[in-house]
Amino acid sequence: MALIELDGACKAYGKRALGYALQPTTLNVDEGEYVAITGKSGSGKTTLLNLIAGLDTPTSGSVIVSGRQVPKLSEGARARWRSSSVGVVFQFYQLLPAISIIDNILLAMSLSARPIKGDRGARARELVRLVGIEGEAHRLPSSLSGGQQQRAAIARALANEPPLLLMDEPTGSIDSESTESVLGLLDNLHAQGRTIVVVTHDDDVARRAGRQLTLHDGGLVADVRRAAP
Amino acid sequence: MMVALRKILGDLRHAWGRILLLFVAVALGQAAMVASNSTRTVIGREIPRNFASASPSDAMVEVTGFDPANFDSLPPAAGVSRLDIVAPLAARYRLANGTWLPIMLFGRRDFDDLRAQRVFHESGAWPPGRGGVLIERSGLSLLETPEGGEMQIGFGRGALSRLRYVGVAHDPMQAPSYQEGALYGYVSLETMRELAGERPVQFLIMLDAGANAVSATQALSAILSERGARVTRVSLSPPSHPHGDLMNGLLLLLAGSTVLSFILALFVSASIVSSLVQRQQRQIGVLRALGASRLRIALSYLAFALTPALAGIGAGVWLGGRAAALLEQVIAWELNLTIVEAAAPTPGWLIAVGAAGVVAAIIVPISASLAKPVRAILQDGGIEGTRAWLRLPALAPIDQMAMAEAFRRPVRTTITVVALTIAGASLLTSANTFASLMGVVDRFLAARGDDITTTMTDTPDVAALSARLGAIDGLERYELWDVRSVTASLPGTPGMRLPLISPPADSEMGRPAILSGRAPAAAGEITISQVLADRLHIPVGAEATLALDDRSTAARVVGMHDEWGMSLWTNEATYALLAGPADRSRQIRTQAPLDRLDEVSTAIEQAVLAANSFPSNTTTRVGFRAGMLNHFLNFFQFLLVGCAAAAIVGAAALTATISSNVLERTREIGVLRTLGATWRTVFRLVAGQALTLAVFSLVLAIVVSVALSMVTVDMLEANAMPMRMDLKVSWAAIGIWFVASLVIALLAAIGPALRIQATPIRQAIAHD
Repeated sequence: MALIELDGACKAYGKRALGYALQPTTLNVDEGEYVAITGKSGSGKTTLLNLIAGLDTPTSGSVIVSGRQVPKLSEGARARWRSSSVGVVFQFYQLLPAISIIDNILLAMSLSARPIKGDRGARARELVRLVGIEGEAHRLPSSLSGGQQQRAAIARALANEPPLLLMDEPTGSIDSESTESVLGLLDNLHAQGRTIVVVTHDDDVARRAGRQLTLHDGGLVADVRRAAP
Repeated sequence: MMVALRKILGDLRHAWGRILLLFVAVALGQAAMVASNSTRTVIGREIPRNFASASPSDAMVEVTGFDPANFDSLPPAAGVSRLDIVAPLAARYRLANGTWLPIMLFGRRDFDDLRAQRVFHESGAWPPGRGGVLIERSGLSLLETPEGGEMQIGFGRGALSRLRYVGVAHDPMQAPSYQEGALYGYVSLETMRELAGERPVQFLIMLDAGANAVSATQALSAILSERGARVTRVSLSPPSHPHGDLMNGLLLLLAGSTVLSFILALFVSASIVSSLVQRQQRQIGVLRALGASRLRIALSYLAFALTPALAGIGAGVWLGGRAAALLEQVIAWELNLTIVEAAAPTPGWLIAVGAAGVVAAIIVPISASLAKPVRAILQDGGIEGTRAWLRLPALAPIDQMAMAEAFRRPVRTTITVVALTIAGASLLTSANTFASLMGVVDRFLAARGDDITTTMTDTPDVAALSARLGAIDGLERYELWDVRSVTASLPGTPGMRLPLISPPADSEMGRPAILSGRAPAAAGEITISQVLADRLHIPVGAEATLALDDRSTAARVVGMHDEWGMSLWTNEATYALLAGPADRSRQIRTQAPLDRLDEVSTAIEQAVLAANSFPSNTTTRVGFRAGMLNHFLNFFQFLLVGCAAAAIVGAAALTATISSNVLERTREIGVLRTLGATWRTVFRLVAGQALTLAVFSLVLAIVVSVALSMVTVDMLEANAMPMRMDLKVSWAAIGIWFVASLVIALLAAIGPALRIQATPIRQAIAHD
């Protein structure tokens, strides 16, 4: 069953004559898929991810995620939808620097439009244990390494148990050892049935995914499915 | 157009909100300095000028049995350079509705040769001529008689006469009529004689340079005694305007607070420029990477920030001039001054100080920004987190984040908190002072058992008076008290005119509280009011001499009582020693329903007239309180203007701080929105910061205001108040400032919150 459906979705900034950041694109991503979006800088990878996350609206076409026409939701409704349906991870972690790792996770939980069952604190502690940084839970983000911060960002993205995890260059700012650990974490999450969409220009990262979409100058030029390793 | 100029104009256009705040902060700071300086210059010049122009007397000798026609034949007295006479009469002016207004009449010898205590011609006749009266200008709003009309004047023994109101005079030595609730009238000595017969005459003495006042009064007293006059009172006059020191003190206080406000405005300006430059940090890095020198960039940003700042200086000079003109008019009205020379051009040094301060406030953040290495600027990954020093675990994470954000930038936070604290402390101190002043009034009234006090000029026919009082509808109870104005010689004083009050032995109208010592018991014992004891440093046990007409008696101070103004309280035995057994019952103290006080007091006055006396003064509980309330409100309103200016600077500081905080956290707020934060959550975060600072400042303002109020109350008690003063904290003002703080905080938050919400999420996340 398709979790993400794009039908002719495109994005142009300024006058359309200047060109599309994302040309009209049609694609489906099923529940439980692990998809890598690759391409050179400026190929439209992040634009596509932003449309799926509801961080941006298409110039035309439709974007349906979890059965919701995302661009047609109001700003507030889109925020509420995002809080419970999507977990987003950025290249530079984007943890809130003034509060601890555990508070970052609790904050995300407090924003959820969907009631969270059970003890939030216990769930937050479980998440930091899941990503392997339980010893750092009460430290500020700035005192953690890049790899640890990215793990914390993933824990935060999972705070509200979203069915879809969107990641923009999750290994772009961390060393190779940390990269391997983060990718291992993503494999585990995928194995648990989570749908994951990763934007990357790293072939090693892309190879871990079951499906690879390649963009070039804003257009989708390849859609390759590979057997699970 | 030059590229640099285009860039400056472009920057100004993009940051118009902060530019406006910078302009307002500088303009208000400069305006406060200009207004304070100009007011001090003008008032500081005009108070002594008005005082000197009136040729104030250095001393006064009051006599009876002197014929003013013999004035010119008096030989010179040693130490006296100029001499004049005045015959005062405390009378009442009858209003159309039958009630009375006190009027102090002064009989003057020669209006074209006033040698001391001069009054000035304002309009109408001069001199007033036979049967004519000139009215002091500050009383015109109380006067019902048109110019040329007849005023009904009443005084002792029920006598009623008429004076024609013929013109207006100005007497710089008198407090304004509207404050005192009494008129001042000036008549010739002939008119005074025809009106009231022979009156005591006061000799106004101006001393030779270096002469001793006491010796001069003694020399004149000896001359007058030789001519058959009897000296009844001698007093020395203050060497300067009676309110001059207090007003200079207030203006000095104003100057201090405006300097503080100006410094605060500079800090706020520095904070605003800092946030402006912060926003352009990346641009600065790029310009330097392209080869622009630090000096060139500094000059470019200096021009950018100086444009609104210098405009603010100009606006501040203009605004300050207008504010000063208004303030001077208010003070002139309050002190009954004539401002001869209103102009006080803003001195160049003041503009230079303002401009230099503003340039410094702009240069510091620009220099700090340029001191960073280019690489650091271009690689700046944003602001690191610091753990909040104040953490309330019970709060939701978003509120904890707001609190952490509020205190993240120590300098910026301090400036904002200080600005808001000054605004709040100013308001609360003013309100506490007002509450304390009214507390004194209420304490005085609570201690009194009567609702109407009617003082008579002469002893009435007691039997007739009692019969009429008993028939007044609404009068619940009355007592006849013994009250006379006596000359009291206390240690260190040549003789002061003070009311000596003796209640009936079985009085149920209450006595003032005894603060130290005890109440008078035996003959010759008195208590004095605490304020009198404090001003003259008179201890319990001091000896005094009391004189009334040709009787005098020794008295001993056995205690201090708590009462409004300077007074002496005694018992019937002591009073009888002075006034004699027959001359009694000069005051009626009455209890009546509060909603019928005017009606009952008018009936009492009618009864007094029918009993062959005259009501020289009537005070009701409600009227006294309303008069005091109005008097203090004038002062309070004056202070409120300053508080409003401080609140605007505080609001500007808070807005600038919140705006900067939000700008610096654009990316983080973008992340929050990615995580699902709605507009309400974003506003809660932004408003939470503003509210945290506002509430923190409120707490500080309460603490500071209590300390300041204690100092103010002490100062007022020592110099101006007629009664012991206790500090009262105005909870209403705290409530009002609490609400105002919340409103200021929400207003300061709404702009930045709307702006950040309008920024697309992808742009916010990419913000650096």
